[in-house]
Amino acid sequence: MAATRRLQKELQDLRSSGIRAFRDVQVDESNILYWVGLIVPDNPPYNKGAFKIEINYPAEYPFKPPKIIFKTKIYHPNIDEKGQVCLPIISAENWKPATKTEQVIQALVALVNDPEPDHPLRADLAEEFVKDKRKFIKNAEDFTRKHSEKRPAD
Amino acid sequence: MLKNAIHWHKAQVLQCWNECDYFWQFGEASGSLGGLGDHKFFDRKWTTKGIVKLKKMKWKFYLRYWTRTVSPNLEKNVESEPKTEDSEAGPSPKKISKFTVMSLKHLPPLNLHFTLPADYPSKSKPMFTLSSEWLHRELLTFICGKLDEFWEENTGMAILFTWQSFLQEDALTSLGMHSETVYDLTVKVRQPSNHVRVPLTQVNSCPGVTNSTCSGSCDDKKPEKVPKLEKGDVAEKSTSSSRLKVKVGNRRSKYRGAPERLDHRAVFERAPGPLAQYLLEYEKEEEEAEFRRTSHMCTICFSEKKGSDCMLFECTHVFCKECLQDFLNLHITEGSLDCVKCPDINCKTVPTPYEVRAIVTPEMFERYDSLLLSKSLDSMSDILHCPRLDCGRPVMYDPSDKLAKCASCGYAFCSMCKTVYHGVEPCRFKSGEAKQLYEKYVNATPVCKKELEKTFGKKQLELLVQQTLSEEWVTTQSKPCPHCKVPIQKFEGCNKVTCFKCATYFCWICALQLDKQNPYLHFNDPSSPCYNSLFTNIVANREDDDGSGSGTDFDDWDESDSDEDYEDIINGIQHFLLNRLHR
Repeated sequence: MAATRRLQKELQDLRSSGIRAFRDVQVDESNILYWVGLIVPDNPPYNKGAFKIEINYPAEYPFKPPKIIFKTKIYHPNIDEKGQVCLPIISAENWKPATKTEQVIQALVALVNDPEPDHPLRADLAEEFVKDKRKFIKNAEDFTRKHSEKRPAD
Repeated sequence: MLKNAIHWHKAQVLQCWNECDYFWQFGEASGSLGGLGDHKFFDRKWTTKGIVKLKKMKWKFYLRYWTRTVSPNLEKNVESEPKTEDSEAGPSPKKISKFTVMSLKHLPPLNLHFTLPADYPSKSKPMFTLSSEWLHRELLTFICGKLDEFWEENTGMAILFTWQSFLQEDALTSLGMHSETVYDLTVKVRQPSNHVRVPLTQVNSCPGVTNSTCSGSCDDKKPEKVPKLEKGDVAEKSTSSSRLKVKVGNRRSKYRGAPERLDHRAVFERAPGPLAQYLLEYEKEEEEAEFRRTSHMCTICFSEKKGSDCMLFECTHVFCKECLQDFLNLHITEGSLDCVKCPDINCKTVPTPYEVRAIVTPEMFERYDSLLLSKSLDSMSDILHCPRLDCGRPVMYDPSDKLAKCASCGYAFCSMCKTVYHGVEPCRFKSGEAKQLYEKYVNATPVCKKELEKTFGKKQLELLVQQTLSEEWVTTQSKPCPHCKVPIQKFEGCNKVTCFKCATYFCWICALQLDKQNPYLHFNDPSSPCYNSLFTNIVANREDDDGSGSGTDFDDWDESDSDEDYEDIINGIQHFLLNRLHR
């Protein structure tokens, strides 16, 4: 299967390159189409915690895009309460088979670090982000402290 | 004594053979020589032909040509830099010549035809002619002189390899041509050149006079060296009445040794067509051959594949044919033509129909072609499809008139209700009638059914049932795109939906067409009816579809389930489209 072969290579590359912002990649031996990892953002207010995500690859991968779900709750204008994230790079109409998971992760980390209030999934948070940044940061920090995973030691 | 002579002769033949063989094999192995078909030994002479390919470099040629003779295709390829209008334009004022710079990596070969005489290499050097399709006689003459010099330095030794490596590596350098520099190859041929190649066998016996025509840049310095010609070889021949003028541009200073007289062994075989085109075509061929020989990394399957199994797009991205086939098959089957692009990230190049045909099966290509056609037809407002079941061809009509006539079957129909043209009479809407009949037929007892079938025809009724069912399916399961009206079923994702056909964004809740630039505004604007409901009803939708799972939990998303889902959708859509066509 093309997907399996490619994912094995991607996993190998990802593990050997070791992106700081994406750690603890766990893949079930029996199902390589399902990955779990930890997003470790650098920018405040998310730099106090880590966020667990899961990546689901379709059987047609890499001809169809993977799906990303946040398993850890996060106070972010672009990620909703169910953990869904709208990432243009993995939308069906923009997806390109040559896009690597590493590039997807980098786009995701960039989005987490710098929210895009222009394309929000949670309009209330986006409004707060634009109008009262201080309040947003405070809320997000509190939220992160309360809900996020522990950051892995370096 | 006699025995000794024979012995000596044998030894010499053997040596000649070995050298030719070496030359031949080396050529084959390095790819620098080829076409050694006429490799013969007769009358104590070896004749053979070597095609010496020139070293790969980055050449830039500065070329002046008549624009009138240049095909539009060529102008695209050439890095066009029209610099000056030539004042000394040709006889007709229409002919304007332009300076154009083109970059080449590969240059057409030099052909070395040679004969090894009986007393080679002890006394005589090989007899040869040097020909080229793009280097002119003045330059070839200079190279011939160089080859003679090598022989003089190495008389009595095997010379072929030295010659070959000189031709391959240094011939152009000796003319003062280097990589990454611009050369003026301006050539004006006032009359067609009729150079006749002197056949090897005639070299010794065809005395003539070389027509010396080198002029211009070469005469600023007296020639220092005239290539030494062998007595038998001073076969000078009046080749033609052509007048060649070669400007050697910035290599003037180095190109001092240019002999005034042209060597008869230097043969310019003019390539058919304009020189620029010939050089570019050669370059393209070589590039393609090189692409096929080398291996490439496919960025889809991450494996190294041979060039012949890969495809190079115009945007220079390379993918293996296997991956491309899977990629194209998927999108052609799904009808998502907007996704048929170069698979590289951020690349917007659309493959040409020719490239698509080279990858997919003929059946797949046919589908792709018809999808492309219907896509472009759908974008035209004055096109309908002929309502006759066995025709269905596109028909152009005048929107201000109800009458439409199929050009292929001649059927005249009403563009509103798609039935036979009925003049000024209003269209009859039969949908209610059909619905009633359908319900009656479906709920009828077998006896009644038979009765109905007698009246309306069994086929007709079956068709009606199918049609109504698929219409029902489509209306309950899908929503039409507000722009192109194609039915769309959403089975995952947020409420900002992109039409798979025309890529219009619209809101799944209120079916409003959304702004192309910022489709999310609809969900973020507090005054909008769908404020904050980008993800409303998603779970409910999925449960409706397969009655299991939740919107976010993909663990229990059974693969077969989703496949069935997907097949259902495709079937449903195809059904609907077919029916729409047929109505």
